Amino acid sequence: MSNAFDSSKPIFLQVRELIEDQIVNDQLKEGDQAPSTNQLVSFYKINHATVSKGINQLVEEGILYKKRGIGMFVAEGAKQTLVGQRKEAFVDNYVRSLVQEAEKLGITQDEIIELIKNTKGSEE
Amino acid sequence: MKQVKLYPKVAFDLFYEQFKWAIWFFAFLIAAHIIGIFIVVRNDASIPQFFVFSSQSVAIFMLICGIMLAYAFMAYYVQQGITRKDLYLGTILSALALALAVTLIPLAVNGLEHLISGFAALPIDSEAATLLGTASEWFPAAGIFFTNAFTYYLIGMLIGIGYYRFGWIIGFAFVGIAIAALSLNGYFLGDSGLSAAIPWIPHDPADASPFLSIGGSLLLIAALLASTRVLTKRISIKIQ
Amino acid sequence: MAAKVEMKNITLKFGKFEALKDISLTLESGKIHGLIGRNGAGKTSLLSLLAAFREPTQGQVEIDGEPVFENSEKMQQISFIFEKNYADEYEKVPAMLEFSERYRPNYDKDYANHLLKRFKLPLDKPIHKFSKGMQSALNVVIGLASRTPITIFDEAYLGMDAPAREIFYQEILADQAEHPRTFILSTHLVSEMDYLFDNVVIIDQGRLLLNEEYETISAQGASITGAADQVDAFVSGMKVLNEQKLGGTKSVMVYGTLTEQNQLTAREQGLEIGPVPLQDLFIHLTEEAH
Repeated sequence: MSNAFDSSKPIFLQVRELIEDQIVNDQLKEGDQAPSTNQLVSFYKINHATVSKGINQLVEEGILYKKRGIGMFVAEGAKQTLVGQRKEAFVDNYVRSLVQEAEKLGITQDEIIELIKNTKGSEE
Repeated sequence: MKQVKLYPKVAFDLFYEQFKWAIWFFAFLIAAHIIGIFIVVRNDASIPQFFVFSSQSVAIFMLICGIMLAYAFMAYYVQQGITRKDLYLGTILSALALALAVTLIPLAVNGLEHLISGFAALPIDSEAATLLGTASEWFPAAGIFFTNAFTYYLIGMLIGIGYYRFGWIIGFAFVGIAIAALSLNGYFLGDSGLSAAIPWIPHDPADASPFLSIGGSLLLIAALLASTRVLTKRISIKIQ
Repeated sequence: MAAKVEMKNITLKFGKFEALKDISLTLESGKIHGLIGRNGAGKTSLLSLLAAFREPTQGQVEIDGEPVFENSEKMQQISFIFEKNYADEYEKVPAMLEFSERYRPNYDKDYANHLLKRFKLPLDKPIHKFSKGMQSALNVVIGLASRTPITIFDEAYLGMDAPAREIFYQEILADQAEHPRTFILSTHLVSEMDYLFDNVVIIDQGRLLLNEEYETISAQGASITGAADQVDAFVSGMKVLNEQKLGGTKSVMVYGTLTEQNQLTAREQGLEIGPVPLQDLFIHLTEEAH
C-alpha cells in the first residue's frame, strides 16, 4: 500500500476522493479520460478490488462513465455535482469542528469571523 | 488446441547439444592420435588405426553423456512442460543418433588416414586395414562399434538416474549394476578385458557365436531400456 | 488464455513427514493468486505438484478438469519459475530464451526483448557470471514472455533489488491487462505485493488456512483506534489479533467483519476504524495456528 493513503478510513473512499479532487480542481475536465483502474493500481500500489470499488461508486453516481473498450471518462456536470456535494459536507466536516474548537478556546463569534478574514486576506 | 508431438523436437535438441560435446571430444581425440603418431615414429613402433584407437574412448564418452542426462537435461525439459514420456522417447532417439554419429566420425577419419597412408608411410598398425577394403568386414565392425556405443550410453543413463533418484548411497548400487552390465556387454561384443571383470561372467568373449552375441546384446539393451523407463516414468524433479 | 486449477484432497509425504495435509482448493482462471505462507509451510511443495514436477501421495491435481501429471497438453500450459542454480550455466541469454521459444507456443519474442531492456540484462555475458538479482530477472523474463495459461512465480524475486522488483510487479499488471492468464505468485513479501492479488491463499504447516478473494479478506479485519477504555469496551467479545497502546490511546486489530451497527457506534464514540493490512492478518493467522 502506498503512503499516499492513510489507515484512518477505507482505502476505496480515499481512491474515490482522489479522483474527485482532480475533478474539482480542474486537473480532470469534463469529457477527459480518467486514469484506468490498472494505472491506479500500478501507480498507488493498491489492490485492484479496492480501486474498482472506489471507481464503481463514482460510476454509479454518474460522476464517471464507461466507454466500452476505451476507458473511463468524466461525465458532463460532474464538477458541479461534486462541488454541490462538498458544499453540503462543508458544514459537517469543517464548520462544526471549527465552532466546537473555538468554544473550547473561548473564541467569540466575531473573533472567528475576523480570523477567517485575516486568513483569506493573507492567502490572496 | 491441436497437440503436436514433442518428442522428435526433444530428440533433435538433445542430439544437437550432445553432438556439440562430441565435436570437442573428437577434436581432442584426433589431436591425441596425431601426437601418438609423432611419438611412435621416433620409437619405430606403430599405433592402432583411428577406428580401433578411438573405440574405448568413444565408449567412455557415451557413458559420460548418459550419466549427464539426468542432471543436465531432465529438470530443464520438465520445466518447459515436456512429459517424462516425451523426454524418454526423445532421449532414446537422440542416443541412437549420437551413437551413429560417433561411429561414422571415426570411420571417416579412418578412411582419411587410409588415403593419406597411400601417399606417405604412416606408422599405423594396419592389421585390420581391410576394414574399409571389403564391405563384409567393416560393416559388422561398425555395427559392433555402434551397438557398443549405444549400450554404454544406456548404462551411463542408468547410473545417472540411479544417483538422481535415490541419492549417493543407493546410487552406488547402480554403479555395481552398471559394472555388471558393462561386463556382460564385453562378453557379448568381444571385449575380454571387460568380461573378465566379474567372476560369474564367462571369461572368453562370445564373439564366436553370432547368435549369442547378437541375441544377448539385444536382450541387454532391452533390459536397459525397460529399467531406465521404469525409473523415470513417474520420477520427481528436484528443485535446487 | 488462462486455465483453472483444482486440487482435490492433496496429501504429500516425504517418508514419514507430511509436507501437505489434505489440501483442497480451486484457483479461478484469469486471476492473480497470491500464495503466502511462512518458510517451510509447503508453498514450493504445493507448486511443484501443480507443475507436475512430482505426484501427490494422495489426491489429484487438475487443470481445466484433467489430471496434470504426465499430461502433455496440460504440462505445456504451465510455467513454474523458481530460484535456479545457475553456477554451471555457461550459456548466454539468447540461447536460454531460444529454448523457451521452441517449447512455448505462446512465447512472445518482442515482449521478451522489451523485458530484457527493462531489466537491463546483458546479452553477451554467460549466465553463471550474472548477479543473483540478474539471474532472478532472467527467470522472470522467461516466465512472463512464455505467456503460458498458468504462470507460477515461486519467490521469483529473490536477490532482485527494489527497483527491479517494482518492474516485475508493473509488468505482471500490464501484461495481465493485455493477455490475461492465471498467475500464482508465492511470496513472503506480503506487504510489498498484496496489491497485485485478486485472490489470496494462505497455507501454514502443510494445511490450507484460507483461500479467499482479496476483497473478502481485507474486509475480515479492522483496526480500531481511540481512547483506551472506549476501545476496550468496543472490542469486547471480538477476536482480537493485536493491540498497541500509546499513552491513553489504544489501537486494536480485530478479526471478523464489523456490522453496520458496529460502525455506527464507533463513529458516535469518536473511534477511528481503519483497514488491517494483509501482512498483519497473515502474521496473526499463522501465529495463532502454532
